[in-house]
Amino acid sequence: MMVIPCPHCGPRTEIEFVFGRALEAAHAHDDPAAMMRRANPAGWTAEVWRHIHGCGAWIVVERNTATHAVKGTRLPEVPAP
Amino acid sequence: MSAYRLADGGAIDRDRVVRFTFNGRAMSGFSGDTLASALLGAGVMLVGRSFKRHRPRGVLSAGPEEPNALVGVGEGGRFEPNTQATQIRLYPDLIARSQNHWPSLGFDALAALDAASALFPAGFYYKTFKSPLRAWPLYERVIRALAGLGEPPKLPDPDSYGERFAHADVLVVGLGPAGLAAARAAAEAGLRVIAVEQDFRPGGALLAAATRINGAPSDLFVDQQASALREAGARVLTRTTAFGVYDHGLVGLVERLAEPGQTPSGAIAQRLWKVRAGRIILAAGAIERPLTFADNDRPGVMLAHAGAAYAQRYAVAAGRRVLFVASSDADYAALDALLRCGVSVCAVIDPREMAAIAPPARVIAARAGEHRTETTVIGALGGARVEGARVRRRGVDGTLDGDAMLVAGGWTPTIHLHAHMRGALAYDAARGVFLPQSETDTVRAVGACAGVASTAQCWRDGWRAGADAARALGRSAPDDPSPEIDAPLDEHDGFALPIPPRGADKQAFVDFQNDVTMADIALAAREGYRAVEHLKRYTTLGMGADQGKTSNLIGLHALAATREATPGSIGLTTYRPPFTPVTLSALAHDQTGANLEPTRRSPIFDDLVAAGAVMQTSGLWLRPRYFATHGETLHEAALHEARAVRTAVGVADASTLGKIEIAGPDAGALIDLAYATGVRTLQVGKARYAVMLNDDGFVYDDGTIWRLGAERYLATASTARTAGVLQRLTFLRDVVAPHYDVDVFDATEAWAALVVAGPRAADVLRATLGDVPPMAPQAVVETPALRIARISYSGEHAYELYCRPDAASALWRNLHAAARAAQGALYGLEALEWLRIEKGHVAVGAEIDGRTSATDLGLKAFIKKAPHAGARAAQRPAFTAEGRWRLVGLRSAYGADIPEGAPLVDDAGEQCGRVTSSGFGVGVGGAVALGLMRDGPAHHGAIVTAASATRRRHVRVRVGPSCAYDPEGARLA
Repeated sequence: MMVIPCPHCGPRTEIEFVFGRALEAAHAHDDPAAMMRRANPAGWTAEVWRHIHGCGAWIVVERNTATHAVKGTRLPEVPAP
Repeated sequence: MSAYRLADGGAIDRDRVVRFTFNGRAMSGFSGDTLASALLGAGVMLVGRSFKRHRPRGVLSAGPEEPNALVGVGEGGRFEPNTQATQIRLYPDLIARSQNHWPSLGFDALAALDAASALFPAGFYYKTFKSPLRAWPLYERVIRALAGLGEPPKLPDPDSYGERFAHADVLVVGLGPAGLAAARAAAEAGLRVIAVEQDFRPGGALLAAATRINGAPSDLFVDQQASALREAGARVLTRTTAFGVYDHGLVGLVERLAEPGQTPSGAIAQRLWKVRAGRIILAAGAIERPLTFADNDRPGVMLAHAGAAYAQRYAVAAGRRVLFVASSDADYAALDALLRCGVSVCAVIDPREMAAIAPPARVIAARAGEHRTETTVIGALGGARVEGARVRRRGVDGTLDGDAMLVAGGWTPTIHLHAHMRGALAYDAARGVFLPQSETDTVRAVGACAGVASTAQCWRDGWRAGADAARALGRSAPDDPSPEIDAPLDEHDGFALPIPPRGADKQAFVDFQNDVTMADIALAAREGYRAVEHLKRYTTLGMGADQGKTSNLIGLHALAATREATPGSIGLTTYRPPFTPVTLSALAHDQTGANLEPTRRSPIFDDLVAAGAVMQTSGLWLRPRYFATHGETLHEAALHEARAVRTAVGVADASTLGKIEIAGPDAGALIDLAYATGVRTLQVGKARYAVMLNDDGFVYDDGTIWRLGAERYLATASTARTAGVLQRLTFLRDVVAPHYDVDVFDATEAWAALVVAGPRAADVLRATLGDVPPMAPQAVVETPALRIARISYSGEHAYELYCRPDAASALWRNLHAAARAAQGALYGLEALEWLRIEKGHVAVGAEIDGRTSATDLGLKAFIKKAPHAGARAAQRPAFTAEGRWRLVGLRSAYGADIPEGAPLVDDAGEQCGRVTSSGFGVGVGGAVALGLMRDGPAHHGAIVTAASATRRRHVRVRVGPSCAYDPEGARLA
C-alpha cells in the first residue's frame, strides 16, 4: 500500500485516495478515441487521483507502475488551450 | 514424570501443571510448554496423518516451519484447523485433535492409500480419472471426500479482533541475537522502534543452544536485552508475526493475544497491525532442513536443532535412545546442547571421515555412545515410531537401534520478507543457499537470514544495522557493548553445503506436508516439468499451510541434480505473503457484520419507523419502502399510498437525495461543462431538470439544478449516484478546468428533504408553514431555514422542502398531520416507483444503466447543442444507429402484472427488448411498465410478450409512449 504525498495534506496512505485515470486520458476527457488510447507504460507515468477521504482534491501523481514508487505529486495545471 | 521429560532444566514452570486433552485423552504439560513439547514430553510421537498417503507423522520441528504436526484446536466457533502444534503455547483446558484419519489416528483405514501409492505419482490427478467421461461426477465425489486438510469451523467465531496502525523508524523482525542487537542499537539512538518476535519468548536460536553470554546462560542476557529495549522506548511485541511486506514500508503483523482455540482473557483474540516502517531490519533467522533418506518421515525423525530446542527449552527428550545425524561441524553444537541436557544419544552418524571433522566436534561426539563416521543413513526403521536406522559405511549396510533420529541437513535462510518486495537474491554456490543480495529501499537482512553463521557475528551484524539506521536518520550511533558470547563451534559455518539429495526413492520425502518424494521430483523432471514453478504446480511441492519452509530448497537441489544444472540457474518460486497462515478473522478484524460498512439513516429515521415504515436498503441508506399502518401487505400499502398522491396528497422523505452546492464566479460555467442540459438561461429562483453524461457519452445521472443566487446553485443527484456526481464535478473542476473559480460541496447531510405531492399539496404547505407565496412550476424559494422548490417526480403538483436536519422531525410531523387532515398519506419507495413509472420518468439502475444514451431514454430535448462533457462521445456513430433499444411504456394487454426484468419477445419469437421497471399505475388503472425496446418508438401500438422464464410467466403487453399518465402535464400546471 503506497504512501502518496498530497500537496494539501502531506503524506497519506493509499486507501485515502481513489485512482482516476492516466493524466493523458484526463486531458483527453472529451476525445473518446484519445481517452481510450494511452501508453500504459511499465515505468514512470502521471495519473490523476482524488484524495477522497482527505481534502477531496484531484491531484497528479507521478508513479512507477512497475515498482509503485511515487516520485511526487502536484496540483493539475491549466491545460494548454 | 514421563520418561521423556528430563529431570531438570528448561524454561518451563514445573510448579504449574497445565492440563489439556489430545484426541479426547486427558494429558498434562507445564506452563511454558508448547502443545508439541507437551505431547513429546508425554511420550506422544504420532500426532497426525499425511495429506495424500495417510502416513503416520510426528513432530519434525520446533517452530513455524512445522509441516507435520497440524492439529485442530478449540471448540465450536473457536475451532481452528491446521494449526501447528509447535506454534501453540499450552494453556489450561486446551482441546486438540489430530487430523486426516478415519476412524482413528492409531488405525487409519485410509493408510491403505500408502500401500497403493504407486497409483498416485506426481500429477496423478492430471492423468487419471479421465475416462469414461460420464463417471467424473462419481470420481469427483470420492476425491472431494478424500481431499483437503482439516475441516473448517462450523460456527461463527465468537471473539473480537482488533486492528491498529503504527509508524516506526525501524521495524525489527525476529528477536534472536541479530534482531535484539539491531533493535537495541536503534532504540538506544532514540529511534522509534517496533521489534517483533513470532515466538512467545524472545531469543531465537539462543533458546535451543547451550550458549553462555557474559558468563551466564543466554536466557539471562535475552531477558536483559528485552527489558533494556522497553526502557529505551521500543515497542516489543512477542507472539507477533510479521507476515508480509508491502509497498512503501508497510508491514502486516498479527499479534496473538489468545492462543488458537483459547477464550481471550482480554477483549480481543488477535490484533492486526499495519506498521508503516521507515526501515525494516529483517532478522528472521534460518530454518533447518531434513535429510532425504527412505522413510525419513517416520515419527521420531526430527530436525537436530529442534531436538536441541525441546531439550534445552522444554526439558523434553525426543527419545530415550537418540541417533544424531550430522552434516557439518556446526551441527555438533546441537549435539552438545542435547548431551548437556542429559539426553541419551547412543550414536552420532557423520558422512565425513574422522580427519575431516573438527577436533572440538570430535570431543563433543566422544560424550555420546559412539561416533559413526563415513556413515550415511539410507533409511529409517519402524512404523508409527522410529525403531532404528539403516546405515551404509563404505558400501556395507547395517542397522542401528534407536527411538528417535535427529537429523541436520543444513540451514535455509528465512528470506521471505526480503523477497516479498522482490528484493534481489543471489545463489551462494559454496553453501547451496540463496541470500539477500542487496538491500531493497527499505529491507535490510541481518544475521542468519543474511547467511551469517556465528552467534557472535549475528549480534555484531544486527548492531551494525541498527547503528546505520540511526546514522541515516541523523542520530549518533551508540557503541556496541560487545557481549562476550561463548557458543560451542561458533566459528563453524552451519550453512556448509550438505550432501546433495539424489535418487528417485519413493519413500524419501522432500515435502512432508504434501507427500512429495524424490521419486515425484524425478518423474516431474522426466515428464518435462523442469521449471521450478512448473515443478511446484505439478507435484504440489511447497504448497500447503507450511509453504515448503523445510522442503523448497531440497526440492530445488533435487531438480537441479536431474538437469545437471545449479539451483542458482533454475531459481526459486515466488515468495508471497503471508509468511505463516493468518486467520481470516484477523484480516477482517472488526469489519464484520454491521461494522462491514456504515448504515446511513435519514435525520427523521425514528419518525419514519414510528410511522410504520418498512425499510429497504438503497446503497448504504435505509429508506422506507412502504408504511405498514393497518397490517397492510406491500401491495395494499403501495396502492393506498399512490392513490393518496393522485387523489389528495402524499408526504415522503427524500433526505437521501444527493444535494451538491456549487458556488462561485464560475459556478455557471462548471454546470455548463458538467451537464448536458443547458442552464445558461436558468433564472435565480428557478429549478430545472438536467441530465449528466459520462465521458463515454451515456447518461450518468439526472437531477434538478436550482439557481439560488447569481453565483450559487444546488444540484440534486440520485441517492446512489451522489458520490459519483461529486466525483465528476470535482474532476471537471480540478483537472479539466482548474482555472475555474468555483466551490463544489456535498451538502447531502446538511439538509433534510421532504416531499409533498398531490392535488392538495399547496393546501398542506399552507397549513404547515402559514403564508407561502404561490409558487409557479419550477419556482424556488429560499429562506435561511428552508428551501422550497416546486418540482415533481410523481407527476402531481409537488414541492420539495429542504430544512436543517434538526428541524426536520417537527416539519415532518406537521406535514403528516396536515396531510392526514386532507385525506392524504405518507408514501414510500414502492408507491413512488409506481407513480414515476406511469409518468414515464427514468431511474438510475433501471433505465439509466450505463448503456443508454439520452436519445435512447427520450431525453433528447434536454440535451443542448453547446459543448459539454461527454458530448463528443455521444456523437459516435453507434449512438445514432438504427436498432438501438429505446425507452417505451408498456401496458398489460389483459391486466396481468408485468414481470420486471423479463425479456420482450416479438411474435417471431425473437427478443426485441426487456422490461426495466414495472408497477401498478393507479392513475391509468392497470399494470404499467417501462422497457427498452429495439427502435421502440417506431413500434407504439404493437403487442409483444414479456416472457419471464425464471418466473414462468408470459404476459402480453402493448407498447406505447413512455409517459402513460397525464402526458400533457395538466396536473403540473
